[in-house]
Amino acid sequence: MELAEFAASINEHGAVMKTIMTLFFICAAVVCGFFVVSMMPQNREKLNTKNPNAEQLDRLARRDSSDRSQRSRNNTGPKVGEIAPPFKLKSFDNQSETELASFRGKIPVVLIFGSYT
Amino acid sequence: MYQAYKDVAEFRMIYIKEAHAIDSTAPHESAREKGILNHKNKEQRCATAKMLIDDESLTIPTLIDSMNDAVNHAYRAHPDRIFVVRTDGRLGTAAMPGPAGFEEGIKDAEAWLFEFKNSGVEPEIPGELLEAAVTKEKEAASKQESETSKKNS
Repeated sequence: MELAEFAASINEHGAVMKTIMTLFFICAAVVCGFFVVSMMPQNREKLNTKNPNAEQLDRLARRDSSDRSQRSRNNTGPKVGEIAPPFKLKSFDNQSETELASFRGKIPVVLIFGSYT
Repeated sequence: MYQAYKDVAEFRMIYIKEAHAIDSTAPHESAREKGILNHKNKEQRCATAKMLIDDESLTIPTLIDSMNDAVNHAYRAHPDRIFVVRTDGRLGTAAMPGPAGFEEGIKDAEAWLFEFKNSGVEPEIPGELLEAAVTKEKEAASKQESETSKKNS
């Protein structure tokens, strides 16, 4: 009887050990996979970089001027490279007036056109 | 974007005629909620612009297009559009108009500003585009010159 219990106990422990070993190998495979991917040249560069804007840099670098030009070429109205149409407009509160030409030679200007709806 | 780059570029929002006013052909729900009609005069246009600025807590300096929509037409900006104007007066970016173009336009403008801020140099205009623009300007100048000489003779 004792021998039978002992044999059953060994079988039970064997199953537990098998499960533990399986989990161990799965974890090891995941860790190895992560290590291999992180050591790929493009990712190694990201890991090593000290620039907090690395992600932004990567995103912006992909939007090069040729993309912008292509979009501009397909547009209606003024295109990249053309002189921006001149204007002189008042502020919404009528307190000041802005002339586009006043920025020339000094600072770039971002013009955002829109309405409420 | 405004907060990130206002130290290297001027920003101006140009409030133009409403895209989806209640009395337009394609009224928008927000227009009904806010009672926004097509502007009949400059005061109405300024009042709606102020409502937008207050509701959205906008801090970008806002200009109002004239009632003949001159700037809107010159830039083909309706319903919304974004441009970057270089210090030489030429366009550095020119997005497509409309919501889809606007989203891309924001990204283009941000990429332009990012490059400018980090390098200190304005991104170059691709040669072929600059050449096309200069040719167009020369043609316009020549046309104007011939019209002037016709008038004088």
